Amino acid sequence: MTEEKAIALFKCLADRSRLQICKSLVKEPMYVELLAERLGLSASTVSFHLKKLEAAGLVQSRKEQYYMMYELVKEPLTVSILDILGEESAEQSEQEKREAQYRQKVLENFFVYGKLKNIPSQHKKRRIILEEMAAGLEPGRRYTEKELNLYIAGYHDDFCTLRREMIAEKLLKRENGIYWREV
Amino acid sequence: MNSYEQFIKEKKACYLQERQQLEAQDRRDEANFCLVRANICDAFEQVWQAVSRREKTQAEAVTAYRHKLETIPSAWRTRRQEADAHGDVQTAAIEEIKLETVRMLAEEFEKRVKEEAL
Repeated sequence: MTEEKAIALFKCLADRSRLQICKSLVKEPMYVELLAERLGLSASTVSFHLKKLEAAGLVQSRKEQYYMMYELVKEPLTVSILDILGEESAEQSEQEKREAQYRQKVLENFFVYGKLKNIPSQHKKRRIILEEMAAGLEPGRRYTEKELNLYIAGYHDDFCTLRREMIAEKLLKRENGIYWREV
Repeated sequence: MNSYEQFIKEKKACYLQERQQLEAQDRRDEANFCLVRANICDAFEQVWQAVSRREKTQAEAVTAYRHKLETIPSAWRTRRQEADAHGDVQTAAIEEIKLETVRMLAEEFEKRVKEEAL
C-alpha cells in the first residue's frame, strides 16, 4: 500500500460515523436507508460517508432490484499497520510532490465536471489546463481542424484561442490544417 | 419581527453547539455540516437586518426578505442539480444542507409573519 493510500485510508476511518458504517457493513451488505435507520443518521449523510468510503476503496456498491447495496471491501483492511510502516517510502521528491499537488489544485479550480470554467490568465496555470486537454487527444492521430475544434468545444466555447494556445505551447503540431500530438 | 431575528440567533447558536458536540465525538464531516447550517443562519440574519434597515415599512421589508429567500438559494439549486447529474454526492450533500436550512428559515419566517398579522 502506498503512503498516499494509507493516509487516505486512515483519514477516512478517523470519523466515528464512517467507522460505524463499516462496522455495520462488516456484518452484511446494506442499503442507504437501512444504514441511516440503524445509525440514526439522515440518508443524505450516510450517502455522503459512503462516497468517501468508496473513494478510499473501502466500500463498493452493486444494484440489487430497487436498491443500491453497499458492501465492505475487506482487502485493504487485512493489511497490517506494521506492514505499512515497514514499507519503503516512495522516491518522489518533495518538489515533485508539491508540483503534483499544485497541478491537481489548478485542475480542480478550473475544471468543473469536465468543463473549463475560464481560461487562466497566468501562464503556468494555462499551460497546465492545456496539457490536460491535450492529453485527451490520441498521440499520432491526425485531426482535422473541425475535429479538434469539436474536441476543445467540449471543454470551453472559446476553442479558437485554446487551439492556438496549444500550438503556441508546442503541445500540438500543425500542418496544412491538420493537427496531431506527437507520440 | 424581532422574534424572527431571535429565532435565527438561537438556531445559529444551536448548530454551533451541535458542531462542538460532533467534533468531540470525532464526527468531523457532520460537524462541518452544522457549521454550514450556522453560516446560512448567519447570512440570512444579516440579510434580514439589512432589509429592515433599508426598507421604510415592515411590509416592504417582508417582501424584500421573501425575495432574497427565493433568489439567494437559486445558485445552490443549480449547483445541486449539476452535482446530482454528475454523481457528485459530496457537493450535492452540502448544497442540500444549505437549501434545507433556507427552507426551514423561510417556513419559520412565514409563520412569524402570519402570527404578527393576527
